[in-house]
Amino acid sequence: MSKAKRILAVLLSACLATGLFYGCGDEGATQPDAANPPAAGGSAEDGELPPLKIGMVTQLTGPNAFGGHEYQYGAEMALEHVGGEINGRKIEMVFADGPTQDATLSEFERLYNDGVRVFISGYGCIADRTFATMADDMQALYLSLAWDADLLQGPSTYFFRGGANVDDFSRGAMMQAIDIGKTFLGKDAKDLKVALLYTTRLQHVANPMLETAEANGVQVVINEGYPDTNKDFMPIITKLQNTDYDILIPIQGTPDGTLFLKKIHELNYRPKVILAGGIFYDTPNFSDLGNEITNGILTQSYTNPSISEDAAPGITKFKEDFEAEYGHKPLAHALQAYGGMNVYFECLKKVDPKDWDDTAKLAAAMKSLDFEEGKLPWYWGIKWDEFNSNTRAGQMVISEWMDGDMYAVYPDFLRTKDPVIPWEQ
Amino acid sequence: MGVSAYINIILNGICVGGMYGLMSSAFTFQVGSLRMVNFTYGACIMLSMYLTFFFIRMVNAPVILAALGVIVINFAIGWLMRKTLLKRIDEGMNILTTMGLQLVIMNLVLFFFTSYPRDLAVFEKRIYFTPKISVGIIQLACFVMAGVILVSFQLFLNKTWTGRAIRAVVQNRDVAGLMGINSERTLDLAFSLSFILIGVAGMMLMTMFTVEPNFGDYITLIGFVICITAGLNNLTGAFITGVLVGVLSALISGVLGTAYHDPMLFGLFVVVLLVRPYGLFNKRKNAVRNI
Repeated sequence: MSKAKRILAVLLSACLATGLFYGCGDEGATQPDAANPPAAGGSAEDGELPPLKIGMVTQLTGPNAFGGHEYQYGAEMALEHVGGEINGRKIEMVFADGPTQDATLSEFERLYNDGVRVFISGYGCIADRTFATMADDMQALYLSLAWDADLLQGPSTYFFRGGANVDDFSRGAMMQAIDIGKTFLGKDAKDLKVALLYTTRLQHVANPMLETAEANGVQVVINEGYPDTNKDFMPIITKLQNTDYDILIPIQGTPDGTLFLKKIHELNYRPKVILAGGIFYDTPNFSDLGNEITNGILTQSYTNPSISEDAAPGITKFKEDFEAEYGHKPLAHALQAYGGMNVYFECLKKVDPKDWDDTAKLAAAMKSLDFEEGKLPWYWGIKWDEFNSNTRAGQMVISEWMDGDMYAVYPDFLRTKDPVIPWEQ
Repeated sequence: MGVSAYINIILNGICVGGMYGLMSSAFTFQVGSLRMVNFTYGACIMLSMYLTFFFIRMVNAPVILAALGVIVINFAIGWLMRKTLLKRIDEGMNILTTMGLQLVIMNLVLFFFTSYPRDLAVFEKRIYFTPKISVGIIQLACFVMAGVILVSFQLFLNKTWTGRAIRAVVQNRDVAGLMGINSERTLDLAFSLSFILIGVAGMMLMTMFTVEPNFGDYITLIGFVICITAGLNNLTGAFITGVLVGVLSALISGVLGTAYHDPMLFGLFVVVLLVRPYGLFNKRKNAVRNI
């Protein structure tokens, strides 16, 4: 062995030994436990309680960064609107970047080790299924906004699912299609013909729609699930052109949705009514396609910032302040985070600020919340079922794109503009 | 659906199939003729699409300059690959190294362009033969160009000294060497030229589709199916098979539904392999390797 190799071997061995020495240290000495989170700035001794930290791991980089930032801004705005404190104790938002599931879990662990015990999910809720299994063990209060209907498989103390779920979303879309058919096209459910178009990745969204259609006698004349790899929409559009139907319901992501809409525009084809199942159709990517394509397209989503003030007190202030501060109109995602934070504030109001570090007390206060619809700025109410799923987050909104803006057109009590159905150029 | 609907579907399938044919020709030339198994092939087409997007949408370069840029970069990539990863003609090693490089290319694209889908935001005009039968101008133009490029490439191989040298090296490297041909340099050139075909295919695909980093996976798969179905080494066969696959894909999607597309297409591929293991356009197992 040459001298250089011997030196290299010694250096590597030294590095390895150092790593082992630190890696095998006493975990108990460095890892905080649930009951004793590390000090979070400030101290009780000087009479002032340290701020309560609320963690959010969201997608601040990567392709979904726009949604992640909307969540961040919505949460910041909510905190700003309560003056950064509740009952005299300050609240601090701690944001971390989670562009992937692995990164989200890793950042969650980092925040937990930094003493954060109260969390709200970020855009995409990509790791909430994992958190659902961890929150009770870690005694960390977690408010999820994920839409998986089966997120919670059993009772939980610390994990709450506050937003809408996919089943409500899908069934709601079909029911609204039936209503639109009756009101604007003069067709009863049994005479209504719909075409359903979706990427098979979103089959779980399409299935409840199909079930609802069948239960109400709606004829699904086209049921086209295409693989994600599909690049050529011409055959599908030709089929649509040659089929008699009333409402087209596309459930698409950005790559396939863009190709599809461009192609129907190139073919100068316009279905009578397009009622999209949200997702791509609520995003800036969609509005980037231009008014010629987007005008008149209806899209169902969660409650979004286009709903009326009468049904969602505080939403106008939220919209105006948001636009003034961030320079653009808020998306539905920002309202989700804003609404979720307001749920936390209602929970904190029920607990003495001195006890906020006791997550068991916070979880009990959360469980006791009871709000009818129309009392919070995201319209939805709060009432948890036995699995801590919110039973008052089932209402969906249909918005219509008009000259680059989305307006709530359905249901009547959330409406901000009358719908134009079918759209006339 | 009426007759005009079927004609529309078939016309669309022919045009898209022409693209498949062009890109598969490059693949069959590399794998079958040059015996260099290049699994970066789909990723390189995807990269060419991003480069087209970069030059036209981000740099606002004129189309001619953008095309030139894509071709030059592709030629350079081909040359570099041949000089490094594919220096030794060893199929096993080629497969592994190019598969690794494919991942590198995909992740670099992800890093620089993110996974946000990109397109040229070009709305295609259509030529209407009747009020119900039409074809996209860009699609038609790409189909014609693909045919012209392949015929030109074939003429280059048959009629020029360089082309003949490539064919000689492909047929018998040792004898070509004895005739004074520098076989290494000739193979370098041939491989790099095949990357021009990849670049052109990428540019054409970019005018029709939206690109994202995993776009190449599908291209690799469809290119592989076409090459094997046509029979390796056969450029004309690859082009014709590409058109056939395009038409078949469109008909399956339009008539039966897109859910049946992959099972039927790949099922047919298996049948072809069983019935004609050497491809639709190759006659016997030990055919003299030619192009």
